[in-house]
Amino acid sequence: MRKIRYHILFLILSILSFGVKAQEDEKNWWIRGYVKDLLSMNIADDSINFDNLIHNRLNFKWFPNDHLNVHFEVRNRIFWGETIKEIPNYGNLIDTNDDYLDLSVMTENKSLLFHSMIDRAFVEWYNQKWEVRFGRQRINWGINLVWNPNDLFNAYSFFDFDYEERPGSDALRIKRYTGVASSLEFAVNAADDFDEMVIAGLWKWNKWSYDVQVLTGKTQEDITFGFGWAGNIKTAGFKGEVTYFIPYTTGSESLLATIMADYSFQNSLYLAGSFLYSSGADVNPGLQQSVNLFSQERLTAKNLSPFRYASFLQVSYSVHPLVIVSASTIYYPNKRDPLFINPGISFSMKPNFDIDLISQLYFDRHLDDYEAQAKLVFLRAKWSF
Amino acid sequence: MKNISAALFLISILIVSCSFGQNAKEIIRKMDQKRRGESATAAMTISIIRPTWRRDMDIKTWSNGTDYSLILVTSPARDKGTVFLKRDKEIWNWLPSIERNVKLPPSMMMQSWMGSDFTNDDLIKESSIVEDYEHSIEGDSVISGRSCWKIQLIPKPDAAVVWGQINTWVDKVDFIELRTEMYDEDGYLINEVLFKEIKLLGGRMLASVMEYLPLDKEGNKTVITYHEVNYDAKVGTDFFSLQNMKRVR
Repeated sequence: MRKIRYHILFLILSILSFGVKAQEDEKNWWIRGYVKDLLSMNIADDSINFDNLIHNRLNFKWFPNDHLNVHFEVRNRIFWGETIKEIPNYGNLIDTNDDYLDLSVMTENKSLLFHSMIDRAFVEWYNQKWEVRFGRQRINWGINLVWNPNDLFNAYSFFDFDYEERPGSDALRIKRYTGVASSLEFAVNAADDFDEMVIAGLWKWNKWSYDVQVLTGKTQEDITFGFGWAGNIKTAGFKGEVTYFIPYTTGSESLLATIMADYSFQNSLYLAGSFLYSSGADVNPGLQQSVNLFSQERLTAKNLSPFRYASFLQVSYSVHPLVIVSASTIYYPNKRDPLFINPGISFSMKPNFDIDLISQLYFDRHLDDYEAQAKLVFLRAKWSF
Repeated sequence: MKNISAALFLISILIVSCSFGQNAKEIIRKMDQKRRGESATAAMTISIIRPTWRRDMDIKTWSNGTDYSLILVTSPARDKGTVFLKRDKEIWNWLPSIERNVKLPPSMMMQSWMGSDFTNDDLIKESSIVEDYEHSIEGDSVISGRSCWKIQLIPKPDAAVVWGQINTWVDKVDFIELRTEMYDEDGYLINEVLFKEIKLLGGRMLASVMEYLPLDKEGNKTVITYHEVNYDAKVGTDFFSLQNMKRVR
């Protein structure tokens, strides 16, 4: 009897191992992701708030055949610390998903919060020329590093550095490739109300070593026209995005324009500079509006900055092949001289293990005192798999 | 009569040296074509080795001549799925996590490739060792039991190349590069490249391991290990598209 059991066990094991082998040879799916731990310190005059966030992302991709892809990505986060205790309904600040479908769950008690959200869930069909995607997806029309007026579907905030994937949209996107670097695209997102919908088309092509795009459509309550480019002047990169919004309900027209240049020296020193003009924003917004820069609220392509003018400079340098130091600053030219400074240092500890030390400082004038209105320090460990 | 024989002698020397020069260039051309092929796909590991640490990166490459190439990073997990596309002088970088295609400034080409001992340009473009240099055979030698020529390469005056001189040892039977020395413009030996583990790759006898040694940095090296090469896959220039950057796996 024991012998028979042994044989059955052996048979099962060999079938299993054969299955694993077959999968390795022609695996048509994979699962990847990371686990991050983010320790944050919010430094006030008389106190320091410590918070911790464990953040796990799982990306699942399945290719049933050569014309079909299924993507499913989940973001799980566990928050605890002093800020949660101090702010009532902290969960509502975190759960800012304003997509058509609410694909998140949350449990909260006095000092701990668990939030899980389906960040991507779409089916993609494609052939040589066509690509059709349906479901929660990222429609990334932006070109620039910091501000993206062309990113009509999911504009993102530069300050939200711990969410590099950026939010998705519940949408349908149809794309036709017309050449090696050219395409036509149409996308529409789902919404309860016509005034919340984004329906837009994008045409992209490449000429004289420039990627050029023009776009038009309806974004929320505006009729939108825009264009963008990415090319170079000598060996420096030169990019830009311009979008014009004409409201069909009430309100006034607005123009957002941004240009950017970047250059990489042989010794790995990288410089990037950018400028944003947003006609709809105030030259001198109130202090509260300025500090709201850091809020978790989702941006739209129309309100990328509360300031009419914004300038950006980034420097990064590899002091050691495994250590990169960088500093970004955003200066808003107005009478209060608001300034955002974002220094950081990143260490590659192991091939898939990184540690970052990051700070975000925001200086502004309040009652004649020019001082830091926000001081944040983050220590982040990331393990990718 | 004396004059004629002297002239003949001179001419014969000229002919001999000319054909010698021709040979050296032909050897380099054969060697270059053998490794490169018209179009090719390959899978390799790039290892950056330092006295106290090491990083390995697995990549798959598709290439057509020197103008078109596509590189997919398959390991480590952190960078998996990242793609670089080069079409003539333009380079794009597909970042799967943010689903964006970033056009890179051409100045990035001169930078070290992901911290290794060679630049993006070395990896993607490679100035032509056939067209940009004058070649001459300097002698015979034996490396790892293989009989080889020692060939000297001096850059042509107008060539945009980094080195002042290159010496390379080429196998006489299989036209395989066995060892290369790179000198700067002042004649100092800067880098040495060793070619090892010769075997059949894509139907051709080739060195499957290349060790790149910067001589001023003790214990530093970058090693490229070829796992697979396919010269039969016809990769047309249309393959090098923004669409395929998202499709390759």
